[in-house]
Amino acid sequence: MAAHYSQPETSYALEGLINTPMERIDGRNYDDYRSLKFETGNSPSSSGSAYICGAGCEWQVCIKLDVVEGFSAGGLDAQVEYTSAAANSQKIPPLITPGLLSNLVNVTLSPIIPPRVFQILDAGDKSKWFRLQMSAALMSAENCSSSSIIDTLFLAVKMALSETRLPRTRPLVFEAQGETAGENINEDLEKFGLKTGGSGNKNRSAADFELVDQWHEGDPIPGIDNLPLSITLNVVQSIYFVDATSLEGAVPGLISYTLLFDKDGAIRGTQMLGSGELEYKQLPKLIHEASKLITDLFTLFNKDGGQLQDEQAMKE
Amino acid sequence: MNFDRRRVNGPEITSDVFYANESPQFTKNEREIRKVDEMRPIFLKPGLISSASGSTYFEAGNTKIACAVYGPKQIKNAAYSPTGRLNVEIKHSPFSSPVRRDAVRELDATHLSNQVTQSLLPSLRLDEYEKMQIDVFVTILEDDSLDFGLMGCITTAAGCALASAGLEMNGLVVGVALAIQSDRLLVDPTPSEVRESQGMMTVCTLPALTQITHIWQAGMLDLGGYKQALSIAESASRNIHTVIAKTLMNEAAISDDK
Repeated sequence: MAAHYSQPETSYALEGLINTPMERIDGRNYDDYRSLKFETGNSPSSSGSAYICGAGCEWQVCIKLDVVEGFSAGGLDAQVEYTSAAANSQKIPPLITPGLLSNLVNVTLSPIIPPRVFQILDAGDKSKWFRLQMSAALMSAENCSSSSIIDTLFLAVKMALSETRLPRTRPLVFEAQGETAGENINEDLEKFGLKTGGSGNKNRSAADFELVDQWHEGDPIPGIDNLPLSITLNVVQSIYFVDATSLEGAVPGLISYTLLFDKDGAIRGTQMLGSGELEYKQLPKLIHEASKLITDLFTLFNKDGGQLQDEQAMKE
Repeated sequence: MNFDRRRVNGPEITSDVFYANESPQFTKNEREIRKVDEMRPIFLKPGLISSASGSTYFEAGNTKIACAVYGPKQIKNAAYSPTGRLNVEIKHSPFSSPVRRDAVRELDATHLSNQVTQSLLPSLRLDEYEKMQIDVFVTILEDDSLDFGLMGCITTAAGCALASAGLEMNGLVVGVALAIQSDRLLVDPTPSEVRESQGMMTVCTLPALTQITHIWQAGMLDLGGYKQALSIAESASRNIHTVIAKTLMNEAAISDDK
């Protein structure tokens, strides 16, 4: 349920936005974000976690890593939820539901981190996989819009995934000794009543795996560098701005145009939300502007990421 | 005559059972027949459900969608709102996909409902319907497009149903899906083409006003490819718009004659 604003309130906000120069109620420039506070690894029981507070919302993302067995059982599964405090605050804009956000995160991440990177052991129906269950909870919402909700969510998701490490494993092979030994390894395994390895190419004869016991925490998830960050331009008439407040988001005819860019500038996802519409001729300019603004966001992220790497180096 | 009465005895003359070819050849190489920027033929029938304010039956390939619009009707027991409310409910039928859908968990497509609501919202003049609700009910009878393509088809069907209901609109809304493959962009892809693609994009537009109501994209695209995809979607949606407008005009002429 969205916050209700009267027509004079939204008209007042709109007047300021379409003025030249733009006059936003809180005095920010069109490309200014509100301050954001990050914290990573704040949930000790999870495999990777991030907390972000700012831009009117508060996200907690936790990742839990477990091992599953099956033909194609592993992978990354993201679930976005609103806590009752956030859902009952009546400050969340319409349309931006947990179902939509869960789907947006899943369809964006699945081509970048495909399930095959989580395979531990290839043995047909007995294959072993890592499964990453990601829970993103919107803890509170106050003075936020759909643009700030999406942008902060993707920041938190990238931070939590960057912090997650996949433990190193090695395959185990069982072999019978002496007279009990068969012609080949599969016969040996059958004598012990063990399932043999599958017909795949990887670890063909391995029947199980174990964790490598060493100081190393594990490896980053493959493809993690290509995870995108989101930039949302709020467009009304011919002007645009980032990080709309709740009142700015309620301006009639406003549409949020979200673009997800990776570090190389390729577009990894698009989403639009709002009651307004965009002209075709507006798009090239908006895409160009978004690609410029995203570099600032990546700079901010890498700064924080750099600190994480330093901490990692100190631990090692 | 001695024979086993517990068995069904076949006729004296028999012939081998004939099995139909389950995978017709034309589906494999469909793009050799169809151009990359060509859509599958669309069958559209407005006014199918007589009890609804407006309705459409839509077919493209094996995708079959029934869409009904009810309202506008007054929202009772709700606070005053200066604009109307649009409610879209999408349901898959259990037999809509090759694997039967679970009736409890899988039939409601909530994220698709949100995406379709977004694509329809800018086309409606909801400020004309204060404190009212417009309901759009979509039933997917058969899905031959997967999520992104399906959303384009539902948007086109729902846009037509809203227009046939005689609601105040800014324009007719049309959805087009594109599959992004390494060297080409395929309009209106089939499920096999979607599985081979590196990304998907659905663009919903008001072609008469050259406006975009929604872009939903996933997968990788560079800036040049993104702009190219938008321009292909624009020309494809103009073609669909012409077909739908003509269908609605014909339907209106028939109902006037009656």
